[in-house]
Amino acid sequence: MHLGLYIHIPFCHSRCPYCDFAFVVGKNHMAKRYTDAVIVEMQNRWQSLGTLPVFNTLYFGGGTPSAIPPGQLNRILKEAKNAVVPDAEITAEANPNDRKHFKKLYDHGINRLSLGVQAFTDRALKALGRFHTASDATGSFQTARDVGFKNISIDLMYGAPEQTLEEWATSIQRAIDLCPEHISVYGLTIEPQTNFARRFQKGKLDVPSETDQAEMYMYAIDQLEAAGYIHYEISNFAQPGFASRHNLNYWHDRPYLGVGLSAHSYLDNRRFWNVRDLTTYMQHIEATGFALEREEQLTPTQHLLERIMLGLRQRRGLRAEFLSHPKIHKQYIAMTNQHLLERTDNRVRLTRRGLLLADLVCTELVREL
Amino acid sequence: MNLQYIRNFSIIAHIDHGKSTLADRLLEETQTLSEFQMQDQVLDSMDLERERGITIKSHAIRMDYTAPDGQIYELNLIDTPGHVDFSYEVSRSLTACEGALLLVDAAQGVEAQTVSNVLLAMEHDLFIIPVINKIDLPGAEVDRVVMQLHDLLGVEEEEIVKISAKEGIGIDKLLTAIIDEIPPPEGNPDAPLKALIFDSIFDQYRGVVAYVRVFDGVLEKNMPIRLFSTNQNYDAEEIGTLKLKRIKQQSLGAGEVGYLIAGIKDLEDARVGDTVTGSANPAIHPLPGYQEVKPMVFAGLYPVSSDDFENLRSALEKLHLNDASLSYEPETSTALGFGFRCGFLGLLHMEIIQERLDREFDIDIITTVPNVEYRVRLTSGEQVNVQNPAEMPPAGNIEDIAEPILDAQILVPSEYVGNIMRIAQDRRGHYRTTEYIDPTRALLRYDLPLSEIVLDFYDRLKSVSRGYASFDYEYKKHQAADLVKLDLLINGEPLDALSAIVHRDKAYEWGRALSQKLKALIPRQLFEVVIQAAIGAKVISRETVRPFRKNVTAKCYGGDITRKRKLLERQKEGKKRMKQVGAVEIPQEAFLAVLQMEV
Repeated sequence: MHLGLYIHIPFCHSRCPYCDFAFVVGKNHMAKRYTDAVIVEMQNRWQSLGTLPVFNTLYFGGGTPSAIPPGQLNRILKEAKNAVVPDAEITAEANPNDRKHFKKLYDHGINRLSLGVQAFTDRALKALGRFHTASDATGSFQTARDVGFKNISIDLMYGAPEQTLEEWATSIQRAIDLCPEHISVYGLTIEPQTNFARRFQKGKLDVPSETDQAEMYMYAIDQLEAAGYIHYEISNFAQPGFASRHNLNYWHDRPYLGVGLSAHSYLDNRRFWNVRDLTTYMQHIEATGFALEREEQLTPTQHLLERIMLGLRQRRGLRAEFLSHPKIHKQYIAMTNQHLLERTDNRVRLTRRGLLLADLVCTELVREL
Repeated sequence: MNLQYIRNFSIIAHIDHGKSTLADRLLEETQTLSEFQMQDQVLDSMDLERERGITIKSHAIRMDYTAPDGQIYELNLIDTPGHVDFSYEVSRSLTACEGALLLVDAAQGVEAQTVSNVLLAMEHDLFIIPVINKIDLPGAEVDRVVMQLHDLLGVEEEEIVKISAKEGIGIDKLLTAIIDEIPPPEGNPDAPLKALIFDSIFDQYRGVVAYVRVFDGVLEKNMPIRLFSTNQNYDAEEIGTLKLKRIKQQSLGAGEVGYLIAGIKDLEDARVGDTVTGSANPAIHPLPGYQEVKPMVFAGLYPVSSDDFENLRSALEKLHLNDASLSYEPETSTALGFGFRCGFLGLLHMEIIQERLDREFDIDIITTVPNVEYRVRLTSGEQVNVQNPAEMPPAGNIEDIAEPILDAQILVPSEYVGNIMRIAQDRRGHYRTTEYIDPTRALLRYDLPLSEIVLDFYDRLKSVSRGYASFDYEYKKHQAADLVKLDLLINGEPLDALSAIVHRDKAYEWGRALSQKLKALIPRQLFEVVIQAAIGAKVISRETVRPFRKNVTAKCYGGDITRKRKLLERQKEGKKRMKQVGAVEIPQEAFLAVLQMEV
């Protein structure tokens, strides 16, 4: 059985200037009421799912799950206990500044910690508006190890304002030195409506050129592969056996249930998601037990689009039969001739050059659909 | 009807000076239409005409007016198109009249078109009744306009009729002036039939309905007739006079105006300006002044979606049925696929056709840069006419290229004369004369290449004169000029739809502006896109659109696949709206951009 459970914890200590996820700052006093709501939503969902247990992964994402008292996460874990298989992967995203909570998180049954490190240089951390230092990052990783975590992931971000390749190389090397089981490498994206977007529009944000960002990305791939990490998805690297099972669910077109503010679910070819406003979420749950914002039934074309899009994100690629579709095949051949796609046995994947242009390649492939 | 009691006249006016409103008021005053039938601006029957406040097609309407002395008069109002593009039709309509009301807005005063219409009316020996309209408006400067009319026509104040068509002021005086001053038609009822076709429309049930003015003889129902220009014979199946509807009559005598239905299938066979005569007893000579109307401005019209090609063909066919001056020929463009090279009388005509395609037929089209017809003399001695820059012969085979030159008149308040002269010079105008029609207004005459006004000339003229300049022109001649074909290349492939014939002195500027504009509009792609402007093999400007180095979404957050898929769907739809030239995707705006170039 492959079914993921995602639980969103929107609370944060501070606002990161690049983030456009659903988060709230300065509202930690609402954590208990929010947790109550999440538990109610879970109970309502169980009823519609039938026999338990069904979930093989559980993922606390945010926001910052480590920002609220671990006891609240524990209440959710207790509620989830009967729904989750015994050897499930249970992840929590955590802020390096919350290391005091790591032991409790581990004791409550979380077995994978995803640390939002972003950089191991103080300059880049400052430029990204983060409140921890490079030594906090290293220290928190050590704490996670010390309290017992045997599966730790580190998030790194390239393309921070005024970042140089040398500076980025430092972060990559420090990460490799710590030997985490998993590393995610994200390029900074300027999302609309964020503080960075406003500064960017005013010309007051100096981000590395596209060429430099491409170089940073390629550097990360080369170094991490050389250090024994498997590049299994566009942004994700893992030691053998440590690929994120929860995230693989998304890329493998498998079902998942999302609970909490703005959480997305994918069940029975339907995608649905919850409202994005904290108060609205809690009021709706308290009144009706659910807080759906919208749902959509995927058409066959939409489903095919998603499978291609998600398949290409994986380094093992996409099963070749998807590309024999009469409206795709011609573009597939053209992309192959341009050395953007390559065939490996019965799969097709992005080449190294293709990785950098993944979105364009994908759009080009499906243009006739 | 005794010729003594017939008056045939038209109203000549600049756009917006109130021609249609006056026509409505005359219809009301003569009780031609009951108030119940009145719809504002009855004569402008197309929506587009009403909206733009201009008349595109001629119309004619008969009014029976009982004068104060009890005598009944037949007044035929022949409405003329209100735009320079249709000046030939205007001239034919005026030929059908003995008099004209020169209508001038009390606030706007005399404008370039007024002047050229007056000259045209004088050429046709029409009696002109000067009329000042909108005298009730707060901005009315009646005295100033009286002075202008005095200078223009030599008339005294008492000869000018002052009215407000909107408020119905002075209409009775105007009718009296029409009866008293416009001469009745002359004609010999016993001579062989000569009737002028001054307009024709297409009725889907009856075929062509020709609007005619009988000069000599009698046009009788069922008589065999012949058209001079085609030498074809027909039977006059139905004749009659025009009110709001067609009123059947047994005959139309000399001096009268009406319609003729004779089983003519195609508008092209009932050409404006042609003469109708009787087959049994034909006139020896036609009425003078017939010309075949030729398109002056050409452009390629392409459906945005290639699926619409057949729809576009049938739409053009239908428009052509009602408008013989629109020409169209299929053509292909490497960039735009299958479309039509269309010929128009002028820019307004082109705009009208584009708008009708959009409104009446709902077809999205891309229009290529409008151009004129060049007469190209080859080294072999042969002469070819080129209506599409892509078809210009290789430079090595060309002896010279002649372009159409206009006799242009620009009327402008004196303080803007300098600005206008600068523009005219920029547009390769050859200065001829300046006349002051009153102390504050100058009439400038230029020989101006038609190609120089097809792009935004009129707007420029208005903007440097705070909207006061008015402009009128007629074709004068073709004249050789140092013209070159400028090609636009995308990654080495010529983009034929953007080729242009330009003067050598302007080629560099044009090429640079066009490539820069395209650079701004062509999105980055997987590979570098090189945009070049070239004359023959010589590249005169080069721009590049850098390729994407990196374009990858970092994260599909928290299982929000929908957001990423929607983005993909949007980008995919965006691609469908692009035209693919080789491997390069070019947005439609790029083809339109050239129409907005300021060079």
